[in-house]
Amino acid sequence: MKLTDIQYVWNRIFFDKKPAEGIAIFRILLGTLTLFTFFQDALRLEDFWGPFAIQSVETGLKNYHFPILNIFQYFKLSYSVLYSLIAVQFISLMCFTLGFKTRFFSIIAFILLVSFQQRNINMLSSADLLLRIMFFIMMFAPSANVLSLDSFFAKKKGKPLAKDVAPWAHRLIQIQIAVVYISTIIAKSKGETWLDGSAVYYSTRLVDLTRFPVPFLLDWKWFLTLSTWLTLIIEFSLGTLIFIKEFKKPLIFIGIIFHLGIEYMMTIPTFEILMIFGLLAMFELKDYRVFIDFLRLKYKKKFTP
Amino acid sequence: MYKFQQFWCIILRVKKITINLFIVLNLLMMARAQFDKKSPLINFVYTPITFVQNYFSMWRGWEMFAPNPLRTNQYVDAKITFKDGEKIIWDFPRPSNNSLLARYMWGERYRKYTSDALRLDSKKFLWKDAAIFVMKSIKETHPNKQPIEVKLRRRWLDIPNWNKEFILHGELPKNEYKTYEYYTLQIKSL
Repeated sequence: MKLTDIQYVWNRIFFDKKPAEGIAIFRILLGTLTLFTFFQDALRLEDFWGPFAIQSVETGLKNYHFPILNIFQYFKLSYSVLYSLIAVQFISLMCFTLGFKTRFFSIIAFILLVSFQQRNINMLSSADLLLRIMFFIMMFAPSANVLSLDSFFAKKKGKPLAKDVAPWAHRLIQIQIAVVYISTIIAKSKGETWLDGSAVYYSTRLVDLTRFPVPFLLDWKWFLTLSTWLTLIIEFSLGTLIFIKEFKKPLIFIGIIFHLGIEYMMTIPTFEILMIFGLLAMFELKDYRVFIDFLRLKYKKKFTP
Repeated sequence: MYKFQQFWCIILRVKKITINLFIVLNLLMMARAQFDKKSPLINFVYTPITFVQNYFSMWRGWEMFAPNPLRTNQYVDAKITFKDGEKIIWDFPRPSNNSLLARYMWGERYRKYTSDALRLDSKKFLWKDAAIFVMKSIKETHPNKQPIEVKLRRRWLDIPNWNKEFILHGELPKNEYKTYEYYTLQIKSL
């Protein structure tokens, strides 16, 4: 193998032009979910972010011994400042989701997302981390070339945006999702409860994480053991085999069922939905255009007299 | 015209190099979760990336329920003493004490904060703020009473080994929660 061969493969993976629909759909899904999560937190803004919150800005900063992005540290926190920042974040997230001035608003949304999260990092979970990472990638992604207000206005001006783009951002998202599964498998392989089959038993006995009751099944030892080992097999497959074309679609389907199952049983807000959106980003990039074209055709047929 | 084309070529080249650097940065950040965090070699190699990870809080670790799920139901509550001698227990909005909607909308935030941070000795610096928060919340529900002391308490109940005592889904072990008072805030000292 030569260095040029590596360069060729690298360019093929990250820079060969592909349909832009995939990353645009992911932008809409990510924006909608982030908006909802932000709305959830805003319902308890006094406790989480306010001047008299459960943790003051000064105390929050004691979590770090290095510089961090947190614009709260530059203001004397008052409700007027807080409400203004919340309003700006809502507008930014809306614009990002709709694809209006997408690059600008995605940067604003990222800065505020990180700032609001760093305001009280002790209440965050993996879902928040994954949201931050996805926004970090999306800030520079060509995610508004289709299915966006930007593309609509550009077309109106007679300067349509390119419908095929370098898919590096979409690839990074796909790799990140796979890495989540691989990392969790590596970490779980060091725990004896995952190997002896009792991990699902202990996870489902944590009362603060329980959502809906599951009759019978979770009281059967054989089912608990089976579901523990199936979790490992599914997560391993979703991190590795999903890149093989023949396995991709069945695995995405299994992965979605798997996450919906956890979503039903356990109260782990945002994470399962975000992983489902991540799985929806794992299709072949050309499939998204086929899907959008199918919808367009259906829509046209329905509304054309 | 030729000069403009040459300039445009340079711009495109710089753009591609920047994107390549951004891709490499992200891949390295993803890979770091697999390395030993205490390794001096890794930390040295990652020096330029550490700043980005710190600044944007991009430390990527995916260890939910790993290596083992928690085997303890645990939370933090507060014991409040009023000036008239009455004592009450105040609970943070725990998911299991809340409605389905509240549990989903914000319960997990409080659980995470109390169980994974406020409970710990390594997060001692959070205790005073939390006790003040409790005191303020109490004043809203008991406006005519004067709290003089807030005590934060760790409460925990082990989930027994399933071979010794099998707990049905949605139920708790028969034992009582254990309690340890770990922080006291005297209100007059404020």
